[in-house]
Amino acid sequence: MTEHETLNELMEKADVRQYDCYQCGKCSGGCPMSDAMDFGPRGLMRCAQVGSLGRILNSDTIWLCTGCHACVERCPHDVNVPALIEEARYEAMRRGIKRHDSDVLNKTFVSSVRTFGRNHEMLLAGLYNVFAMKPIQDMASVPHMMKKKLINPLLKPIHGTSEVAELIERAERWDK
Amino acid sequence: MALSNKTGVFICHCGTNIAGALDVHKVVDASRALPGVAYAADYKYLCSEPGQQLILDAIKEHGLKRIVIASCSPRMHEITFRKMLKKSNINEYLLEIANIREQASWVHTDFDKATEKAIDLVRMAVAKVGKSEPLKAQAIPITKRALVIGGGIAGIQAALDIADAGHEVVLVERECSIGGRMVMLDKTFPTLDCSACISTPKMVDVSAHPNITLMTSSEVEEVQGYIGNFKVKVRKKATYVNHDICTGCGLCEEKCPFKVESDFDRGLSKRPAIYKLFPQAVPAKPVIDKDACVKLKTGKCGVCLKICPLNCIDYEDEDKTVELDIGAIVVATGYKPAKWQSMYNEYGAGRFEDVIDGLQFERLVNASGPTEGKIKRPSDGKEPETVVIVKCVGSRDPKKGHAYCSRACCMYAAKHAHQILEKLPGGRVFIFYIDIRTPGKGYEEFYDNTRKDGAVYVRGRISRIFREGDTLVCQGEDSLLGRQVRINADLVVLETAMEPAEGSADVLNMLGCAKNDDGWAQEAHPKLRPVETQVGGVFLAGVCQGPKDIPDTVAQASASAAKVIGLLNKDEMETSPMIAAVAADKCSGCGACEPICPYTAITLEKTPDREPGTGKKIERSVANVNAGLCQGCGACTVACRTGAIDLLGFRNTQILQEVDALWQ
Repeated sequence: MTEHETLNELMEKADVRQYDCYQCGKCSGGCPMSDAMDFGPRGLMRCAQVGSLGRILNSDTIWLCTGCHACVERCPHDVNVPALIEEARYEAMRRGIKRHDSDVLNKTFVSSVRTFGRNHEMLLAGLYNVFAMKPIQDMASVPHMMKKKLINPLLKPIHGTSEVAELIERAERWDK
Repeated sequence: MALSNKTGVFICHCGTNIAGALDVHKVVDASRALPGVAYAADYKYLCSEPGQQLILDAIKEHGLKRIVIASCSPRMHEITFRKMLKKSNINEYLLEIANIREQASWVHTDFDKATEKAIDLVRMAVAKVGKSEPLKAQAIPITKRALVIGGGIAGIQAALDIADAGHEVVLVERECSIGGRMVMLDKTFPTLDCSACISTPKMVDVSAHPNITLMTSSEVEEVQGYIGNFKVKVRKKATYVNHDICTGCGLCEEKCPFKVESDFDRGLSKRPAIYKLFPQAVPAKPVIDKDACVKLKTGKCGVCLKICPLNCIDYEDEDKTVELDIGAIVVATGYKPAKWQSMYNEYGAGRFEDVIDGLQFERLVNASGPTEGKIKRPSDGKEPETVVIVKCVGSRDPKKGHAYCSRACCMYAAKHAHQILEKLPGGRVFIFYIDIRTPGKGYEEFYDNTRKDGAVYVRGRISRIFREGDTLVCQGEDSLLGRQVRINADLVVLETAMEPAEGSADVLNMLGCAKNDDGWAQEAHPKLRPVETQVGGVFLAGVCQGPKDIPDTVAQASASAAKVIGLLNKDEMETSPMIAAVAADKCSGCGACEPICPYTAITLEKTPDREPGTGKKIERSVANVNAGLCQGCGACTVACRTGAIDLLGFRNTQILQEVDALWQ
């Protein structure tokens, strides 16, 4: 399959048509992550319009999107950029393209759910810091959050962790 | 007496347009062999003068009674050949055009098959013309009086042009003064002449013109009839002021104790309950706003009556309905600015006082506006230092607003920027745009000057406006830099989309005119009939047909006036005889045709008859076609269950003959 065909397949899966976008920039203008991104949502759509799949998959834009959907809400043509980003992330992972710590959080999150049947915030934050090699990130807010009972140091698994683990396994098989 | 079927067939080469793509001589030979054909010939250009003479000579020589011309589309030359037949003794409707150009030579590449198709087309035309009957155009009288609906600059211009040509005009305006949107503006691009200075003299001309009857505070309530013969009901709303005696001294306006928000100043100032729309209003006489007047609501006040030196105030005044005979109608209902507050939550949805629309800015910068032309923020009256102008608010936004471009905003945004930079030395202006569209004489130069004046154009649509302390933060993307930008503005001007005026849909429905999906009136043809509508005698002027600026509006108004003058100059007009005809004896009076007719041309009428068998006198319903309204579309002929309705020139028998001929 050519790069062009792959891009079109991604667009189709995401139900996004690249020529719906007329590059007004209202998405990037309001995107909370736009300043940190290399392209921003408008730039990403431009890459799609000129058929540059490589730029999309190698960008950090697709990993920095928080999925807040402010861009979709404001878009005059209702272009669902986060849906395209979702598909681009899958394709980048299939190709083994890595951008800084893009996949660390995902993997840590899944292993936490696999073990405890639920996400454990403190563990997630701790492991993320270890794997992403950012040991002191956000540590200052731990005491405050514990005082407010926003995080709990106790690891308490749910009933039926094995069923959840099986669910994850099935999802992973299905994805392949 | 049945007419002879002696038919002449003439095949046109159209240079090589037809002769180059099919065998003309074969078509001639095949035509000769057709039943009823007495003569067949071909010629290089039948539409030319020698070509027409050839046909006329053949008619005389061979005593032809019916004519088939195989040539281009009937849209092109049917009228030409009908005119030609007027010089012969053949009725011009005993003519049939076989379109062997658009439907054969132009669209087929196979020479033999194109020839075959051309022969088929000729055979069908010969079969049809054999059943044709002579038709005669009817004449309908024309009332020499025009109605103009809407007293903005379009209505004013159309009324003046028609009146200057010597015809009576009734100009109906629902507000208490004419002038429309144009008089609200400060200056007009690209020449920056003062809007009031160029529009108020025209308003005075309207009121002084002997041929114009001005009806302000009035609305068209009902329209019946057809081209040349409309019957229009206009409701004159109660003004509670006797304008026959009132001199417009203005004492009552000064003394009125009750104030409400001024629509004319777009909510930026207050006006009394008895008011003139603006100081230069035409007519220059006040009216009472019955929703604001305390005397009319509770009976307790009456200050205006006490103060009026001439006793003009009449609290008992009532609406009156006037009936008018009208020959032609100009629709000039204009626009309203889009209500952006309900469209854009991200721009504050109207919570921030200092986010205003373009028309509000016009009032702010206008010397006769609420701030006497000084640009001041509505919230605290301070002079703004940084102004952000946002274009395409409600335009080019199919999700939250309208898909269309409002056409004038690029230019008036540039004008606003120019005015800000002129009036606020040291001020800064940022214009957020998606594209800049300045097609018009002197427009690009104006934009260029604004840019050189120091207005900063930023390519990107504003994404969000929020308040931080005293300033409004406008967040968007500079898409040429690819970076997000935030501008701390003191005042934000949203250049909002134009929308069809309030109630324009009612007017168009009343007239039977079509609208497009956005509510703009539909012209008869987007290029070749831009001011006509599908309804005979109804014309369009100005923004009611689609967003446009003042020069285009005035040009279109004059164009529709020219159409009206052309119509009113005739004493009577011919209508096409190719309309629906009802065979009364076959009509069962079921009424199926009535709702199907798009032109409301069919009505059921009681007709005296005798009961079959007994011979008793009875009355029964029979469909009746109004020749003035019927446009000959043929919808009713299909709906008719008993086959009682025929379209003249396209009778069912004619069409069936054609179909039969195709399978011979």
